[in-house]
Amino acid sequence: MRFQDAVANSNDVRDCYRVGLQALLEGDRNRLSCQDTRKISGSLNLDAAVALLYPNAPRWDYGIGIKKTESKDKAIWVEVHPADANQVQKIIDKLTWLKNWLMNSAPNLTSITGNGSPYVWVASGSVSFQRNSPQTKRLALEGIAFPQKYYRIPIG
Amino acid sequence: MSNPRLQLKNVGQIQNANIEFGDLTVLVGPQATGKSVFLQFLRLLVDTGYVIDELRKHGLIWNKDIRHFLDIYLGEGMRDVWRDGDNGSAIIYNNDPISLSTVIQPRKRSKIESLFYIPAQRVLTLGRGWPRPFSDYGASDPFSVRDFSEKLRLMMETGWGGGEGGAIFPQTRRLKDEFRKMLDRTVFHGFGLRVDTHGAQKRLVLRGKGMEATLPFMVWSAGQREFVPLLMGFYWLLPPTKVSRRQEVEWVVIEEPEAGLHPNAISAVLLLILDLLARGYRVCLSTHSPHVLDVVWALKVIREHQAPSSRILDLFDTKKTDPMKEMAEAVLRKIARVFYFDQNRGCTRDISGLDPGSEEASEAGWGGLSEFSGHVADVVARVVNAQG
Repeated sequence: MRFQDAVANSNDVRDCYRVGLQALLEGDRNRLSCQDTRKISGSLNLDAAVALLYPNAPRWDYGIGIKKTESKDKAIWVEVHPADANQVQKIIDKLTWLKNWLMNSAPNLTSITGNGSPYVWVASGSVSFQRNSPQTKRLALEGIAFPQKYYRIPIG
Repeated sequence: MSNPRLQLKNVGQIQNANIEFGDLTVLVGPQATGKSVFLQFLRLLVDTGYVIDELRKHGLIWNKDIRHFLDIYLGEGMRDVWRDGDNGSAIIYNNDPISLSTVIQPRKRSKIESLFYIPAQRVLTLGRGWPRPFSDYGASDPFSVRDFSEKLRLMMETGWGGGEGGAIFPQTRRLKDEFRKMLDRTVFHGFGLRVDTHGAQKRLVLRGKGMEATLPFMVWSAGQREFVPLLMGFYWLLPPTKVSRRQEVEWVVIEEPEAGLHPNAISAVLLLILDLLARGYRVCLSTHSPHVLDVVWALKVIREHQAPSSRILDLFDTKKTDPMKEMAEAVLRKIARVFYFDQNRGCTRDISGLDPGSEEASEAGWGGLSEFSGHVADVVARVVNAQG
């Protein structure tokens, strides 16, 4: 399934698909790069799209579709957030919300979400905890890799 | 005044090591990348007169031969670190090229020692529970070990170490109260270190409170055996008088201060190292411990965020007594620098930023010290996502 179709099939966000990385706020978009932008099939500003539906929920920021084949995409989920140790719990709360939302409200997006490293924390400033810290291990157990200042979208 | 700077080119594994020293300088990198050789060359340049005089005083001769000198000074087999020819070895100290053949010539120079060197092999200095004399070692053993051992021997045999009843640790006039408590908690666990006589032989022993029997060197824990020579080095640098430091000594080099120690004991040692800094010593460390860089990183962040100096004490969970607060205040003004010895390129890289989010892998992974933990976490994250 294509990312665009998976978004269209999800009632909460059906009209929120954008080409390339256009769904991302400019400041956030600048923190992402891709060797071949033609491989990016589209994006979704999930946070904005469901803000009215779930105003008090710890909403995740973005979904991004990456072309795997001509007819098949995979989705990754990117949160741009301050990377302080005391934000780790917030990120875990956001991920829990995202996973629940995907399962309950967006099964098509769930089906194309990869099982490698689909949940990405991009630091909106400097990273103020360490790779060998307990916080990093907590994140790992939730399936989130160490935050990066700039994220290179994996293709291929 | 600009910071001291040392550059070595084509010396052993080093192709180009270029280091501008801070108040605290930390060298990291894999084994056998030249950190120790670099520090020993620093010593030779800072204390040329002292080193040459000590070697000659103990009957060692090298006939102006650089390679022979290096076998004596760095240890057997180290002659090959020095190369001749087009890509020959070179030393540049404070921007001036230095001729090693001139350095090793006996000349009239100051023999005052201004760099105190605590070698990684310090545990060897207490072979039978008492510091070994310089001449007890072979001519092929490194000068840094022999010299440190001899210093400890002289200190002990001139009665320097013995407090009341032969006590060496704890002594009320030695080290700040908080340090003593921390060392007791993390290293000695209620045991006291003292001088004992066994037959006609003096020796260092541990004795528990209320215990009759004493524990000789060989039954101490590995960490205690590693720590005691280090403690003696600290005693030498932190005089028990109103004088806060040895005025003639500017530099302190400690190789692998973490050797053999539990992380809690490493914290105690690092607190002592901060005290050296606060007293105005310029300190250089080599380390394989992320714990050391944890503290350097925290100092940097505390300074950058203009946080109160008491945060430094929070790192160690120590009481905020006036002497400790004074120490923390002085430490906050110190600049630390961290250099990575790159095994593949043979060069050094300034990773003082210690930015865990840096795009530069050697800085993000703290010269490999936290890289593995990060890698493990990444693999665990993938496993969690794949298996649910």
